[in-house]
Amino acid sequence: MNPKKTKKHDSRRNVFGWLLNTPYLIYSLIFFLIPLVWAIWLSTMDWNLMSEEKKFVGFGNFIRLFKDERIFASFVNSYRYLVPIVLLCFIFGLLIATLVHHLPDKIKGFTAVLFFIPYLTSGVATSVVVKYFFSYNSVFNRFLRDSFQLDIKWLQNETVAFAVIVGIIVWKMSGYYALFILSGIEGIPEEVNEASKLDGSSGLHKLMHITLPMITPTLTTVIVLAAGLAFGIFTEPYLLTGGGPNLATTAWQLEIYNTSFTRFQSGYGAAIAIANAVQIFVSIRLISFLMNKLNKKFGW
Amino acid sequence: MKQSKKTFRLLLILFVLATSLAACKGSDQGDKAKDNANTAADTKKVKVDFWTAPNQQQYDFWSAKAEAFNTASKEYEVVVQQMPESPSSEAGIQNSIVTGTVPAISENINIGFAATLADSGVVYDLQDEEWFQNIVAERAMEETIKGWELDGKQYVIPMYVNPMMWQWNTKALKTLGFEEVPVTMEELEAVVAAFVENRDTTMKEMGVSHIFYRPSLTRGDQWWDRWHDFQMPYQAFTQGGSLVEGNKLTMDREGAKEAFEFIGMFGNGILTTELTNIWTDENPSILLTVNAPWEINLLREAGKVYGEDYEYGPSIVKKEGDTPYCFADAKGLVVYKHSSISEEEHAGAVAFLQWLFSTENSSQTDLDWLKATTMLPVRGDLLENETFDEMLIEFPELAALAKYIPYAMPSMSHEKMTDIQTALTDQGMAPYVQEAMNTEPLNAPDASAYVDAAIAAMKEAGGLE
Repeated sequence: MNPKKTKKHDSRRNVFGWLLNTPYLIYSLIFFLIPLVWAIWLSTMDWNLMSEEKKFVGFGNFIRLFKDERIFASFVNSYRYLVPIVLLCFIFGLLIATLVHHLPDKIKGFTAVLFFIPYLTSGVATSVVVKYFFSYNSVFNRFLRDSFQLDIKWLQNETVAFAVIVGIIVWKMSGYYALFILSGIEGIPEEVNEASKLDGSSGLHKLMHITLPMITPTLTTVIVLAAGLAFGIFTEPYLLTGGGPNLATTAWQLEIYNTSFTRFQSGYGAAIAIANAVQIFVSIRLISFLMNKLNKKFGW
Repeated sequence: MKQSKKTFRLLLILFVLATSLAACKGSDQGDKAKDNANTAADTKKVKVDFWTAPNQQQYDFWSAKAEAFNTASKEYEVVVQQMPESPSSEAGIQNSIVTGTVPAISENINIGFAATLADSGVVYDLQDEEWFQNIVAERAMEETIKGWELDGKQYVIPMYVNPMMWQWNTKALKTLGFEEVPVTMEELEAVVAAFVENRDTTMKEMGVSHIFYRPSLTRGDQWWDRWHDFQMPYQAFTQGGSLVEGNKLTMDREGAKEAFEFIGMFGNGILTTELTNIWTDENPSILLTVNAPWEINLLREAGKVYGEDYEYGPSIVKKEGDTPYCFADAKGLVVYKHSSISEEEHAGAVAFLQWLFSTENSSQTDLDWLKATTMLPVRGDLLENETFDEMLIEFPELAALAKYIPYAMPSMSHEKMTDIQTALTDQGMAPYVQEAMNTEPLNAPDASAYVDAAIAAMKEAGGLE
């Protein structure tokens, strides 16, 4: 083939490729790059977005982050949420998936959908129901008071309120993650199951030594998604506790919302959002790194 | 074949470019829509955007008023819409200012947010406008309007004022042996003592488990509730004392301590766990709350009778003869100043306001408002103007509230009000209440340390002296 012709052909292909990518590039530019650059610029300002007067504060907003007890609480809470949410979503997801896997094929799909339904419910609706359920004059609390003389301040006790929020999220998400795990389990080749059976492996032994190692890539996805979820908590503390008591349930998103839209400190709000993004990036990278190590150990 | 490939590629490229530019086209259309909305070439009327509070009652009221105005006006057409809550109504306004979609007028603005808007230069100073002074005169607001001043200027046309009151469980109060609601601290202490004495007997039989219900006492995110539960006793004890003036924290330490200890006096009789249907329950489980008229219709629908099931009591004062100052839950209208609002649209906004509160319409506007919302319009002549007589006779609960309008004081007018009141809650009220809830009623813990911590935090949060 004539090299000149090939070069011309490649160049035309390149142009064509770029043109096909144009919509995505424009989309990324408008919805990712420009807002990111603008947020970085905003984070260096003391500005409420409304006033014509903008005050440049340089790194002032970022320095302020280190002195803000609410931000410190959000930082700590994000890991306090991360550990139980990831663990419990994993455990319940695995339990549901194992349970559904052993069901007859006829009802397997239907049961999987039942467990998936909480994921479809709105966080607002769930929180409102939970708020009603734990209200002082709810049937449940009246029962506890009348039968056991128990007067639990569900959303006013730091530990209990935190547990309630974690409980809602785990209830909502476990069925969703179970679908991932189920697809992993269903994907294990039949000959592997048969071989393990011949070797006398069953029950917990099979789960630990055959099933889990075989689905480590799926588990990596589940763990990374659950970790991302833990960093993005907003609706539940916003509606149930407002981040209290004593900042025990506050979260990054809640602080970004309150700073930007209640206190109108948009510059500082942008700085919090950037700090949050950095934390998420570093944490997720770390989790991915550890999970990749685990994957390699099992030959993936 | 080659030709058809070329044609296909050309078409594909055109399609890609067209879809890429679709978003840009959308925004252009948005701007054009606004332009069209504001010039309305087909009707020759200038359109005036008006935003109402995000609730149906107020939207219906303003829609009716706009319709009447539009019929009467040859030049302007007021277009009413509910303000977007994205995510809050204040943030919706902030967003509209940034994006240039701000209306010419909106209601639902309290003095604190007005201070933020004024500080940002996005609302008109109305002080020297003749039409504004006419409105003040029409509604006999000469005295009231002083409380709405921001740095010697006026930015808000007050629409309604709800004097915050104590709402008492009348049946429980009578069971405890009190025919009248308490007015002084001595009388209140007697009620609390009687409650403690009967807590496990008659009160338990009635289902009244707690003295005072206030779920937000320990929640810094619900900073606005300090207007009601802290500011009300504070103003009564300090006889109208202020919290912030200009850039100075003027909160009286002793008055704040007394207000804290007033709440603390209820001890373990405070209920901070959420209750549903507090006053519409057959047997309300509390003796008192803070309240205002926004529940009147709900209570009527639930069959509750004012004076039999519940009644409003004034702000508790230290001694007989003191003025029962209280907090004024009040909001009003502002006129926005922005490059996206044309001179004609602004003139239309002013014309609408003049029409609403003209000599012929002023009383009717306020009466319609009262009927629609059961919130008291800001008028100095509310109790004397016979236009309102029928309504106040039909709603004795409103008449009871109206008596206290002269003593109702609006919130601080500082652009960092939110931060200041959040600090007051987080560093003062919340930890104090948590301690107080572990004590028996009438044994309020010493609040000095909490008040000092609150003062320091409020100064830092608001950059105050």
